[in-house]
Amino acid sequence: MMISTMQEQNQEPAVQLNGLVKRYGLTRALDGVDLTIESGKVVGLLGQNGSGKTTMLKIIAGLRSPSAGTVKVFGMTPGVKTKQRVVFLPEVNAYYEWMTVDYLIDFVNSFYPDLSRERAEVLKKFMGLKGESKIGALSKGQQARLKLVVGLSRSADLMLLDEPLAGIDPPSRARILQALVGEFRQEHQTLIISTHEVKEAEPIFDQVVFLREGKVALQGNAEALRASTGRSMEELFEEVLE
Amino acid sequence: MTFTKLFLKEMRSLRMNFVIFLAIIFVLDVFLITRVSTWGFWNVVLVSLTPLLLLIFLGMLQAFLLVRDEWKAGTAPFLRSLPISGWGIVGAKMLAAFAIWIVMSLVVLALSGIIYASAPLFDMEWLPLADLPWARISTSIVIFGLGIMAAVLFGGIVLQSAFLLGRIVNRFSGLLSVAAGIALMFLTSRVGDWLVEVLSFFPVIRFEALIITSQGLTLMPQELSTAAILVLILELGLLFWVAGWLMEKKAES
Repeated sequence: MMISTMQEQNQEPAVQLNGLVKRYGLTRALDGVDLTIESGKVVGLLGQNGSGKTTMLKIIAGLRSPSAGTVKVFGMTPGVKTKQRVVFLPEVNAYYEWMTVDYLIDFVNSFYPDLSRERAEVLKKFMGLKGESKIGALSKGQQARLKLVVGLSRSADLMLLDEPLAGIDPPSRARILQALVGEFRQEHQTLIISTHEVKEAEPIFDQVVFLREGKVALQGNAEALRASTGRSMEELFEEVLE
Repeated sequence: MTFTKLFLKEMRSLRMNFVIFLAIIFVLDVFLITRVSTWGFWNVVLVSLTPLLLLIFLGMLQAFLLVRDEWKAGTAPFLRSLPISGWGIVGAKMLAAFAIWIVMSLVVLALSGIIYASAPLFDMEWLPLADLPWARISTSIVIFGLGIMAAVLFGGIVLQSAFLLGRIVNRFSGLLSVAAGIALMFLTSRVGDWLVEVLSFFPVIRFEALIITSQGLTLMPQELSTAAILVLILELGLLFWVAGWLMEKKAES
């Protein structure tokens, strides 16, 4: 019964943006974005600095309000209800420095019953983090890993990851990415990953969205785009966004 | 459950402020005791109570700092991505700031009480407090206490709302917050005065209070309009709603 309910819920697009505009003064960070992201996909949100990736993720997460247009997350306007089903991992360290890793997991758990303590333990080990470590004492890379521990410990329907590899040493990135979509991701989960590390992240994307100056420059199925253009995502990234 | 967790988080955030304050008060009182011979015992007792005045502003400031620090430390996106309403977030912060203010005030009172209790050690006699007409002045004490509590809550929520108003823009947010703070104080006081006048048909509470006059402490009749209480509650509720709404819907992080 519960499974069928979840399936019914997931038939709704994970994210639907219609004519989305976000203005900061005279600047248009997002300029009429129309986008539908189906549930269960891994979507790469690609674009240069200032192209609107973070703004888009924050609007979907309900942290910023659009200047115009509509945003639907599982058919609902972003709010407390959608936040229950969404994980948002910002680029910068967003956690309280006085908390320890275990305290943070416990804190997050009290808001999200979908967090699995067992999974958190496995992930902590995988990421090489100690439960008693204070967040303020963690290196930038460790803080980036901690975000992934917190995010992946949950079985949220939608994960928004803003530059999840920033700060992580290059040799570990591929391993973490594989873990992100292989070992620890559940089938129903939709991942939207904004990244500059196109080469490393390319293999995990089902769908890609290229943003340029707040507009969708190109979007589509990653495999189909590669086949039709005969180029890798990295080459497309350079071509489309130049 | 989630509100409690958030409240405890806020209390933990204020822990260091509380410890620093305790240390300052303790050092101040120890210093004051060493001054009894030069300043006089009753002056020392009086000065030991002055932090209570400072605490009123500190209580308001703590409520403001709890919100501001989320933006300063970059934790606002995490906090606001939690599935709890803006009112829950603002409420937990307000309650934590208020609770710490109460505890700090009690600490100041307790330490001053200890100094007062030590009067015989300095060859002084205790004041004849038992002779005070407690039954007649109890209403004024309650009204005074509640008034100060309301002032702390009111100031705190005005500062929080002003800060959050500044967060709805990405540029000149500090400037907007300052302007919003001044505007909110002006508006609430003007609208409050006007509303109290409109509601002047509401009954008046009459009580007696001890007032310091040239003849010493004198019992004087006082009046308090229930309309003023109603308007205060109304404004507090409205400001709380605005702060929660801004936190949930409009502030950018």
